[in-house]
Amino acid sequence: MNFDNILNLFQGIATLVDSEPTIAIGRIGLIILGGLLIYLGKKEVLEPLLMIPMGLGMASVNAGVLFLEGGKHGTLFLDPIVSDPTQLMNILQINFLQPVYTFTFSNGLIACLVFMGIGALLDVGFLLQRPFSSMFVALWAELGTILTFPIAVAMGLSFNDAASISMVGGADGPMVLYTSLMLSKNLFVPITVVAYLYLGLTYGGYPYLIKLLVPKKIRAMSMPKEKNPIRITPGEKLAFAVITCSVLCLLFPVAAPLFLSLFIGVAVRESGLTHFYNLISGPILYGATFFLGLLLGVLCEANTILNPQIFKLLILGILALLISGIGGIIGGYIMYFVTKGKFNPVIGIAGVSCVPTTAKVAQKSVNEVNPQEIILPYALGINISGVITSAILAAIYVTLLTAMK
Amino acid sequence: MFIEKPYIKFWISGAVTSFAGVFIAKVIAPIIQNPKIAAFTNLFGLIIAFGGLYFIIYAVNKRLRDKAKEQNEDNNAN
Repeated sequence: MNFDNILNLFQGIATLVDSEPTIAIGRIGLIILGGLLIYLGKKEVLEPLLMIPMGLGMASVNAGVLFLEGGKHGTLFLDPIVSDPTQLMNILQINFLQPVYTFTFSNGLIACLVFMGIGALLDVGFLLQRPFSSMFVALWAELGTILTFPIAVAMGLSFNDAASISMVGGADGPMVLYTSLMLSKNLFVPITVVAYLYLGLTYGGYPYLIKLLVPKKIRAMSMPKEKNPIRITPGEKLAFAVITCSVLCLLFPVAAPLFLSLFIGVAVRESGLTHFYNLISGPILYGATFFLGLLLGVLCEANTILNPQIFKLLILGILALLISGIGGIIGGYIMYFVTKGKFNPVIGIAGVSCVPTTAKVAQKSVNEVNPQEIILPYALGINISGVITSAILAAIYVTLLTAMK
Repeated sequence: MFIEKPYIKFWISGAVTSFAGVFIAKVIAPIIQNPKIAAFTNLFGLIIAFGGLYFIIYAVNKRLRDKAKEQNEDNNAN
């Protein structure tokens, strides 16, 4: 038995030896990164719901490379770039994740399913109670989405790619996925992976940004309490959801699937349809999140991810999130001065619409210095406004750039 | 009842204003020949549409304020 035969038994290693040094090093690096994501997910430094399936998918897809017909390297997971219908029909019967990818990921369905779940978890009452402050701060928290676009264009990205990476500033995973699928199909894998990696970082990174920009004394301030809080009725919330969804769909038809998904979740929640609510906020949301994480991990194959643009995307992604975070806090400070010290600027970070992570980050940061203070209702109102402003910005980018073609 | 009777007028006005904004932005603006006026009309329509939505939110907040006022008056009377 010669050495070649032994290597054929262990094709994962044989393909590593057989491939170019950059790809081989990339594969080893991505296997290690996958393990690191699982570790950080388990430690809850990063979002475990996404990072654990993503990390394992990333490690497996880079380990499980084998020789296919004609000595080509490939995997039995999925092929993201196949477009020829006959080829696709063949691959659907071979690659085990190809059906999930083709029928849910590449058409944006999975983003809409996650959005439905988010909609079911949202209480628009928080937004309706404080509409002006919520929308004002949320608009400031879109600063990264707006400012990253010209920076990305100046760095040599096309308008479409620049818009897709700018959406990372909205910190809304499904929105980035949807925009990049609509605008830059050739770069949507690296953009989405960068987005989700960074979204995981918001939980760990934003508390430091808050500490840096907001002095302890202001963080610890108490906000005025409502004396007799009156609830907004489910009927009002439902009627608002129906009118807003119709108006937004009429104005931005390209993002209508996202608006419908978000508001169908809200409508189900407020209609009291318990069985649908349980379905959407449980199996659909968690099932979609699980497959989203797994598919994102599996898409991180060295050949796909080692795109020359990836370095630029990494810089622009973190820049977008950083500017949005700063923008949110600036919005919070403006509200602080306008209300003469009755608004905690920390809440501004919740305008970065990573639901409900940034709202929880704001609450956690305040509780570190003032354990009795509850700011979550304010933060959630701004968080929900952030989702809506992100969707509107995504719609504006997609509409304008599609029209420019 | 979805919406309390005294506030229905605000809701209807808000919804009508919103859809009027959509009509201006999506129907009237595209048929205007002058691109600058078309862009301005489109923006104006968008503002009207969002203004309508804010009018609805105003209705919700007005009800909350009125109820809070009633509760305070009841508390004071007791």
